[in-house]
Amino acid sequence: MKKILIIDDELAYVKLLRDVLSSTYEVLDAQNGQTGLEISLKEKPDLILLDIRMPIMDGMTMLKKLRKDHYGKTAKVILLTNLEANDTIVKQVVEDQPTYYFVKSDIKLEDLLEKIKVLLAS
Amino acid sequence: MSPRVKKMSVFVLASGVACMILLLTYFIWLYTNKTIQEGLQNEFTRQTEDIEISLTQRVQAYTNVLYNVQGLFAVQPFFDRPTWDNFLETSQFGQYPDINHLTYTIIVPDSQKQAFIDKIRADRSVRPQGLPNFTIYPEGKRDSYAVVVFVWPVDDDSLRTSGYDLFTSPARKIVIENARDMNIPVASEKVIIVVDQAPGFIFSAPLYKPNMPLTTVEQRRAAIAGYVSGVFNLRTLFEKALNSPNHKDIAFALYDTTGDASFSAETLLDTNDNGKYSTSSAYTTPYKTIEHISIGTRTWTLKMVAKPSFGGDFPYMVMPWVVGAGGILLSILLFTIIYLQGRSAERQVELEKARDEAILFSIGEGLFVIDTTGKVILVNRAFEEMTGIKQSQIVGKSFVSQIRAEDASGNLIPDEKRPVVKTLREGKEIQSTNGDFYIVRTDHTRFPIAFKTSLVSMNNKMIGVLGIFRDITRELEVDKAKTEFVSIASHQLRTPLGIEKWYLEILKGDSYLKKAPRQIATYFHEVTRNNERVLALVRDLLSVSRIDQGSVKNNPTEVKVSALLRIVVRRMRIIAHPKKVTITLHDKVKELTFYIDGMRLEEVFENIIANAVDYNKPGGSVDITVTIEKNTLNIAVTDTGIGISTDDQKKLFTKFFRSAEGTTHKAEGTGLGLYVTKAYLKEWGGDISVTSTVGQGSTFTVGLPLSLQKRGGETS
Repeated sequence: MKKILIIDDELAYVKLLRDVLSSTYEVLDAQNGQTGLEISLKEKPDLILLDIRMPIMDGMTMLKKLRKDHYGKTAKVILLTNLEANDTIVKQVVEDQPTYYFVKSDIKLEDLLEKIKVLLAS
Repeated sequence: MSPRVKKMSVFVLASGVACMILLLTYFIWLYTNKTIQEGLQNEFTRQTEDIEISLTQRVQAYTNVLYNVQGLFAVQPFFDRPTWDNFLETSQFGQYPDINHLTYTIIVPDSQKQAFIDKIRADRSVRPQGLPNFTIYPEGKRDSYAVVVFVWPVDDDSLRTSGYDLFTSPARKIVIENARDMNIPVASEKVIIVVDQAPGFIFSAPLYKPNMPLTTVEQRRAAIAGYVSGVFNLRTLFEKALNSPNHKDIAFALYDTTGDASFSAETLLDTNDNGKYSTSSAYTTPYKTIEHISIGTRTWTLKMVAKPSFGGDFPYMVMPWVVGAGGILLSILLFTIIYLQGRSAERQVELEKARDEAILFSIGEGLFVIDTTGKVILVNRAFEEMTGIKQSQIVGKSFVSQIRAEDASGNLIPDEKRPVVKTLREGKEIQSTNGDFYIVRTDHTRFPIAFKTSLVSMNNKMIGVLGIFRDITRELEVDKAKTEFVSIASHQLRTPLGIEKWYLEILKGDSYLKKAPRQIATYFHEVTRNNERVLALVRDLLSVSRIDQGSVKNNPTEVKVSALLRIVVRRMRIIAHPKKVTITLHDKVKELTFYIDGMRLEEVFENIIANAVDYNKPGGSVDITVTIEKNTLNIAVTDTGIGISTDDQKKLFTKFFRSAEGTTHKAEGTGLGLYVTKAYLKEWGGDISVTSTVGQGSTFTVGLPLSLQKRGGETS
């Protein structure tokens, strides 16, 4: 069973995603970048859903640290946030594959699940 | 020009006019004076000539008296008393009051002395008893005697004179002997007439025996028979004969200057003013003259001067002074009028200047004026307060060197990019309200400005630049706070709305909801729709706030424009379907690849096509035409909708604007879509325009420059 790590401080998102994903995948979660990084390196999930604005360590910092790791260098990451695409995000998505980016409030849940399915199938 | 200088100039003007009037007065005065002087001189000459003629005539008259007696003697030698009396009576000598007396004298040789005395004593023609006491006196025996026989007028004195021997008076002897030798009337020196104590003279003429030759002195001495002598009273002459009201202002003195005798008390015969002016050496007058008159062998000199009263009557002497005083008065009057008028006009100008300055200096905006060389001409009080530089410190100095300008990051703005310099060089007025420029104060703090430069022209020639600016620190702060608030609020709103959205999506697919009553399903649909609506609003607000913050991130990538348009059209047909609106794409342009932010371009296409659908009539159409015109790719979206009034078209691209018809037609809508669209297009160097007829439809045309086909082609 593929392993998905959800890193988000907004518990309502975590709960919802866990609910819709747990039937198909093994779902792990963390509420900040620090814990998220630790779990990632330990559990080596197949896909990480990463929020950006979080306490303790934000998503972008965590991603930079993750990419320095052997596993992390190729880990599939979806930036799932409400932040508009700024320079840092765009640079990350364009230059640091495999990184994806969706605005939570813009994307349909259905489309997101489809994207996850496609990514994990490849 | 300072007020002091102007005050001076009015004073100078008024003084100048006054001086000219004074000068003119002076010349008129000179002329008047000259004319009057000449008139007076002429008058003086006329009067003195009159006097001289009177005197000459008088002397001639005396001569004539003597000649008359000579004539009588020639006709009747050794005439008797009745003849003498008769002659005098008919001669009317009485009209000459200055003839003191006239004597008839006979030369008597000593040999005939007694016979002569007897003859006179026996003569009863004077009085019945004759002249028994007649004798020749003074007593004594002399060779001959010049005996006074008749005296006119007849009175006791004259009778007493009878018998007097003139030879015994040396003065008379010289006179009569000179007269005898020269055969002319001869006058004596001055004598004092005893009775009147008045000055006078004796005037004698010879009487010769008839038919005697008189060519030589010897012949005349041989022929001499007697004399006629007059004693003339000069006092009476002056008082009666020469004293006329016509020349009462002339003082004169008569001197006996025979043999070049000088003027002195001795030679003075008489004066008509007791010598007050006529002989005074202390008295000076421009009017004086000296005339010489011959009387017998003597020379008289008549010295005439004008008395102070001469010409004293109006208008002769007064005239120049009237002219002078009038001129002075006129110049004082004109000076006063011009000065007061000038001062009044100046005060008016000063008042207006003060008012202008008050307006200029009380306005809240900093204001400065520079000349064409960039030197400061003036600054107002607000300028001084804002910059900390006083007018006196900056006037005459280069504006750009004295006022440091920076950009938002604190970099010095080079001189050539300074708005005042650009305006001076290019003649272009510049304004900015976005706070790109900062002015540095003297204390090194700085403030952002909104400003405007204007050309100052005179007769179509630029003479300087006027700049006004204001401190927009507070405005920028408020604006920034507002934008930040919108940004933060939007992000914060997104999270709960996003959560709602996904939960609603799950519920929608839930089998429980599918079995729920129709009403529940309707309510659920409304909740979902409004969740989407709020999210759309938040999205738009974020776009606006990004635009306002200037933080729109352009992420150009290779975008196939026509392909993107087809994707959007396809998506829009889904929305259009329920309204039965058909969307047709007419794209005859071959595929173009632009380097452009694809997400935003998609947003642009979505916005205008969605509007064309949303504000269309049921069953209407949307036609999208792609064309190339010059250097622009035009995408025109034409609908058959409600249309937009001309007034509304002007406001269409402003923030939060929604037309009344639009709001009625479609309640939801933020009024931000077209604002955002226009902002994006502007950034790419493109534009959006609209044509519309109310009730028939609108055409929105998006223009994209073809230069976007190259990397970095946008002209932001």
